[in-house]
Amino acid sequence: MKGLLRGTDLVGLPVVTLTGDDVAEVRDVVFDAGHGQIVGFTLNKRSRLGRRLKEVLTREQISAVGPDAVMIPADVQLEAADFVEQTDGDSGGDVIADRVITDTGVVVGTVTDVVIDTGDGSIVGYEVVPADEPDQRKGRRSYLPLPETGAVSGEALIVPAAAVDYVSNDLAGFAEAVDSYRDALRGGSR
Amino acid sequence: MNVSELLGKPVLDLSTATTVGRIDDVVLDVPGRRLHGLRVGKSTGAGEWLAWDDIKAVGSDAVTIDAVDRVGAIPAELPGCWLRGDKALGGRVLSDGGRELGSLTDIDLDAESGALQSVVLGDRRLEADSLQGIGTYATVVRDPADR
Repeated sequence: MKGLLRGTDLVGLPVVTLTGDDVAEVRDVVFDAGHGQIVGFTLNKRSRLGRRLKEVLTREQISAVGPDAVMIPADVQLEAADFVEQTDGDSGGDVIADRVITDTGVVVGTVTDVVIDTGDGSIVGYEVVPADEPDQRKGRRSYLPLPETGAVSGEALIVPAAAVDYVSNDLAGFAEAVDSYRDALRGGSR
Repeated sequence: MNVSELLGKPVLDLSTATTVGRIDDVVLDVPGRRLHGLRVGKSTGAGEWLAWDDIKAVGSDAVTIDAVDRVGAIPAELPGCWLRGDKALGGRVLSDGGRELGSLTDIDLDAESGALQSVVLGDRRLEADSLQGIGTYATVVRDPADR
């Protein structure tokens, strides 16, 4: 079973060693949208008004990401680093609030969050507010699957038109939608 | 034998037939998978520490030792945290996959060797070798297969 989580679900999760000590909490999730992967986490101190830590957690240092905690091995040394250098220009960083357009030129909506497969830290889709959704109906979100190769992101986020057929309205059914979409892509290329 | 049964038991010095104190906390050696030692509250001995290896027997009504000098000062270096003092008992249990599994109800030990037998979470029992660590935030166990 795929464990899917929204990027914002990870914010505030404790970072816990396998020996059971909490060392920090997730301040923000850093993505490389070009490669469809988590780069790592920036961290806050573990307290009610935790200040930002200089140290960051890179993807390689993470042992597991679960719904209740981010687990790291006991011997991980957190190091101060700057993630900005690791992402390159337009492909990295912030996709939230980007418009999603299909390669046939239809606006799907606006990105409100990313959906992560906790198994390998890859981005499997985006949470979007549909473009045809009137503003007064708040809270409705759709989940749009991504092809394994990731989508092109620049001024807008370009996705294949076929992805729209696999949009799902809740995260529970989304894991299946991602799988069937990617299966369909593989079948088509053969 | 559960840790919860051990807590509150009197420590009886067999040479004088007097009670030295009562067990009020225990320390587990997590890598060694056994009980490391116990704290003797209100001790009449030199300190409050009783190493597991210095115990003569654990009975249903008392823990016995052969001399009061078995009870000494608490070592500066302990291989784990206090199960009660650091709120591990009753505290959060996380899987190594980052999933909260519930709270730690008890720890089952072999009464003869002090070896860890199982980790008790409510009505579930997890194998001793699934225990990864007991820390200040949580007890970490290997993700059980039933998800």
